[in-house]
Amino acid sequence: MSHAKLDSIDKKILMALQGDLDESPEPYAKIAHELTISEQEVIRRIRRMQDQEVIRRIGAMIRHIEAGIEFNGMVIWAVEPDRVDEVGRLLTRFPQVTHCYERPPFGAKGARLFTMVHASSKEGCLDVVRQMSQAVGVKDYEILFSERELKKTSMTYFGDDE
Amino acid sequence: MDDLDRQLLNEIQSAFPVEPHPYRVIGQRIGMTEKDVLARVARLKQEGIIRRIGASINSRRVGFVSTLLAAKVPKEKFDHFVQTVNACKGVTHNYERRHQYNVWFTLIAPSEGEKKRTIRELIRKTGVDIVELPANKIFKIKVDFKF
Repeated sequence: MSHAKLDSIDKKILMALQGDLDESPEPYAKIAHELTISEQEVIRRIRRMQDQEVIRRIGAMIRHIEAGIEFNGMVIWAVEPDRVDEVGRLLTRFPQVTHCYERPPFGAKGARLFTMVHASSKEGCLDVVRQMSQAVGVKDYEILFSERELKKTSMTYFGDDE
Repeated sequence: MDDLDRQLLNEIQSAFPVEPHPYRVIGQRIGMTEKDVLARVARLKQEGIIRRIGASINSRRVGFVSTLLAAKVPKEKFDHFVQTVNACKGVTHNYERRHQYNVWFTLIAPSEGEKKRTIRELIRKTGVDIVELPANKIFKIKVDFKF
């Protein structure tokens, strides 16, 4: 994926959006005021950066554990290289799968597909994984349950030094 | 959390309006006033359920590289390892998992070179080997939960 063209105003907008939006009822007007441009300009640029896929999503970032979705399992799937694309695409259809990646072969079985599965109970998580296994016809998988969240933050891409 | 909180979370996670009065628009969708929405958002933040409201930025599109790292950390080195890794600005997620490889974390860096330097430094400081598993292909990233 290539690097998007962004100017200094775009970067300043991203600097505001990478953190927490002010709890003002008009958050875009507030950014506009700080950058001395119009609110329409801020909105236009944000929408453009959404189209450019620079911004993946705008909204609330949830602490899923606090919100009751306590079980996350990283499930790694040993799939033959020629089935990686097909299986990867099928696994994304499950709404409980938040992330699905192909990575270099890992472990004794050379697992290549890595999925994150979220559920409110361990049984729920196991149940989804069983359904996933059946749907793709892959029995060689391993679930790595999270024991503890050690860190969760958002990246600061743009700082004052830019 | 009550039903209205759940409705609000469903809306505000992925369909936050890019319009002058985003909270008013969300309120119209779920039958709440702008004021009510703002008050509930403030409460959900206080309770720690909403971490922040903002953008999720695609690291690759802004020239950064990201990767997944795993390590087999022995008990006696665990606390020091976690402390050292978590002190790294580019480490955004870190989980202890029930596996031979018991620590898994993500690293975002401004360049390939910077990423490699950071990993080398972490190995040197902790005395623990770290395995890198960068994504060759992304099939899905969609972190919105249904409440």
